[in-house]
Parts: sequence; structure tokens; C-alpha cells
Amino acid sequence: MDLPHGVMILVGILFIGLAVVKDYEPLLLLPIGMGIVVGNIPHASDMMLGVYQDGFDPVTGQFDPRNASVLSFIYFGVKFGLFPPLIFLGIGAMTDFSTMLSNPKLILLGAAAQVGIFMTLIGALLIGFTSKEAAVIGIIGGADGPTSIFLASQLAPNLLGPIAIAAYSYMALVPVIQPPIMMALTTKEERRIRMKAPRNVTKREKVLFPIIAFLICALIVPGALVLIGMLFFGNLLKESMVTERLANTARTALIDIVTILLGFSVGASTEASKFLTTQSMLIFGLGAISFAVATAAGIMFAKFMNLFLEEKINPLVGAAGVSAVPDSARVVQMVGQQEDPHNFLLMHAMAPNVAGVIGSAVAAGVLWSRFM
Amino acid sequence: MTIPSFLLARTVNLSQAGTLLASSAELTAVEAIGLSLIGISVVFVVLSLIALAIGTLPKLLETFDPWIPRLHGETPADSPPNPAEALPARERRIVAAIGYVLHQEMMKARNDQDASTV
Repeated sequence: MDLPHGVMILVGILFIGLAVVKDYEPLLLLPIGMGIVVGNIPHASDMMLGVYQDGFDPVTGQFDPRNASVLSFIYFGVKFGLFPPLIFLGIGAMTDFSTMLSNPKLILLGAAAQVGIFMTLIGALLIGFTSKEAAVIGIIGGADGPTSIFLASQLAPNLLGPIAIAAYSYMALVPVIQPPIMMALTTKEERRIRMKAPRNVTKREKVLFPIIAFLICALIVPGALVLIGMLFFGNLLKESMVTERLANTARTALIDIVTILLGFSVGASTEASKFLTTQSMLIFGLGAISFAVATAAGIMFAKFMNLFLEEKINPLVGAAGVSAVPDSARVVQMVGQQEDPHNFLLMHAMAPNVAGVIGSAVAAGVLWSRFM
Repeated sequence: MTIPSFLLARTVNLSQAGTLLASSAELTAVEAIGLSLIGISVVFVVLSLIALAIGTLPKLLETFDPWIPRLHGETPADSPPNPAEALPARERRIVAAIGYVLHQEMMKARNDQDASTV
């Protein structure tokens, strides 16, 4: 056991501690934390225990299953981008787009928050990352773990571990990162703005929405086809009401299984010699900037929209434009209620929140189309 | 607009081949700014079109209602409610508040186990 591996094991235990003691995103941080611990236990190289022992001969490219570890088979779903679309299927099957359908202008906040992705891309390029790496680092600002992993697996597999850990860490830290930015960019009066209750949405609208939205997204950005297709497919399963069993499986058993496998194998991929590098630290730094810029962009765009709207938007709602569903919407509710305990912003914040999921998948599609 | 020299100095690979959205070459800093502008514009266009489609959907459904078949299990209650029959704003707020408190209590009871951020 050397120092780097010891440090990583401590990081894994810290993640488990945050999940168990602080209840920070336990469904993500606990599997990732345990994966980090497992992936950093030193072992003899001929024992076939590591994630990176995938059975492929580095010279000939021949596959020999006797040289592949069990962890590498689980990691296959991450490495080849299989898990993220399945998670999007589950997200679609559990997401209610009603608040978005009832107040379509809030969708634009989900677009504004994607500014963080592209600003960080430029920043990462300037400090020396390659274009593909910069694109993958930028997508952390979308605060969307599956999208980050999907794009990393396609464009920069070498950065998959740091990208996944950074994305999920910042998602777990939404309640810590976002409130100071929200307080700094809004006045007390703005935080007290009450928004009109959303209208009722008919079943027909809910059923037609995933089909229409999918066609718009896929025809303009075919690169987003896989993620967006699975997201809206899951939502159609839910809203059609004729495939309740499938929808139920997608939003419970399937997404749980994939989350376990993804979290654990991503954690196990953070083997110290590959993870504890200057590059990883830079990725963490840029990821934080990306996330902060995305939050600020959403808030500022809400304030900009208020210049033209008669019924004002509470600018806090703009912060939910980063995906991180539903945590960033909950943070909006929490900060809003600190100023006015009778102001209920949660349902309004869910609109830019789910729009942010679509926005970050579209941004990933644009970047994938550019660099594939 | 003049691009600062430090931006140009940071160019990763000076390959200029191909167009901005089709080339697989490394980006220069200038190209990265262009790509970012195009990228965010595409995101805005897509989400604006979705917003537009959602905004016009109720009117279209109302117009074409006689020709649209009823969905499986759809009842008249699923149709747009008559505003005159809707609850007054004050009562809607009370219902929303009760719903919110119930939701919070149920989440506490379940120890928030189902509330993963994705």
C-alpha cells in the first residue's frame, strides 16, 4: 500500500461518510465511494482484479476472457456509453414535464444555464487540454452525470474517471455551491417574487410532448439522438398509461440496477496511478467554475427576461437551469423560503430543471457531432 | 474585434482544415469561441422551438379536438378545465401548500431514499 492508494481509499471513505452521515446524494455517493475503496486496494497485476484489465492484448488487440477482470465487464457499460442512455430512460419514466408544459417560457432558463458548458470549453482549451478533452470537461457544467459520462466515453475515455467523479461530486454538492451564488446575484425583493400557479395540463399534451420534443431535438441535433431518444421514450412509456409495467420497471428496478453498476464501476476506475494527476485536479477546478457559471447564467437570464415580462419570474428559479434533477430545484425552494416562508417555488423550478436535462443533452450532441 | 494575442498563443494545434462543425481537427481558441457561440445558439433554438410548440399545443388541440381520437382511458375530466369551474386562486394555494407538506413528510418518512439527483 503506497500513499496515493491510501489517499484514494480515504477519499472513498469520505464519500461513504458524506452519504451515510450527511445524506448527500446517498444513491450516488455510496456506490461511488465503495467503488473507490475497492478500486484502490493494491493487488498483484496477474490476479485480474482491476477495472482496466479488460482482456484485450495491447499489441495485437486480441481479446482473451481469461485476462479480463469481473470489474472490467461491469465497467464495459461505462466505457462504451451503455449505462447513460439507460439512466435517461429511467429519468424519462420518472419525470413529470407538467410544470414545463404549463409555463413554456421557463424552458429558456434551461438553455441559458448551458452557457457554463461552452465557457469552460474555452477555458480548458486555453490551459492546454485537447479539443475533445475540453469539450468533455465543459459538459460537467451541465450538471448531468449520465451526459458527462456518455460524452467522455465517446470523446475522451482517458478522462472518464475524473469527469464522472467531478460531475457527480458537484451534483451532490449543489446545496453547498449554489446558494452563495444565488444570494450574491439577487436582491431580497427579487427573491420574494411570487409566481403565478401553473395551469392544468391535459393528458393529450403530456402524451404528445415527448414525441414533438424528440422530433425537434433529433432533427436539429442528431448527435443527441441516443440520450434524448431514451429520455422521451421513457416519458412516453409513463404518459401513455398503456405501458405502466414498462414505465414502472424503467423508473425503479432498471435505473436502480444501472445506478449501482455505474456508480460502483466508475468509483473503481479511480485507481490512484490513473486518477491522482495534475490533470484530474485541473478538471475538478474547471468543473467547479463551469457549474458556478451555469448557475449564474441561469439567474442572470431570468433577470434579463424580467425586463420584458409583465408577470415577473423569481430569478432564483434560473439557478435550476443546471440539470441536477431535482436537487437544484429543491435548493431554489429552500433559498426562496428563507426570504418568504409562504413562497412555493419548487414546482416553478422544476420547469427549467427538466429543460436543463434536455439542454445539456443537446449541448452534448452538438459537441459530439463536432468532434466524433 | 481583435483577438488578444494570448488567446492565439494558446492555440493547441494550428490545423485550419475543414469547417467549424465538420472538422475533426484540434480547435484554435478563435474556433472554440465560434463553436461555443454556435453551440449555445443551437441549444437556444432547440429549446425555443420546444417552448413554441408547447405554447401552441393547447390551441391546436382545441381546434382539432373533433378530429382527434380519444386516448385509451381518457375521460372528459382530462380535457382542459373550464376556467369558471376552476378553484379560486386562494384555494389552489392552500391545496398546493397541503400537498407540499404531505410530500415533505412522506420524504422524511422514507428517509429520502428515492430522491436521487440525476
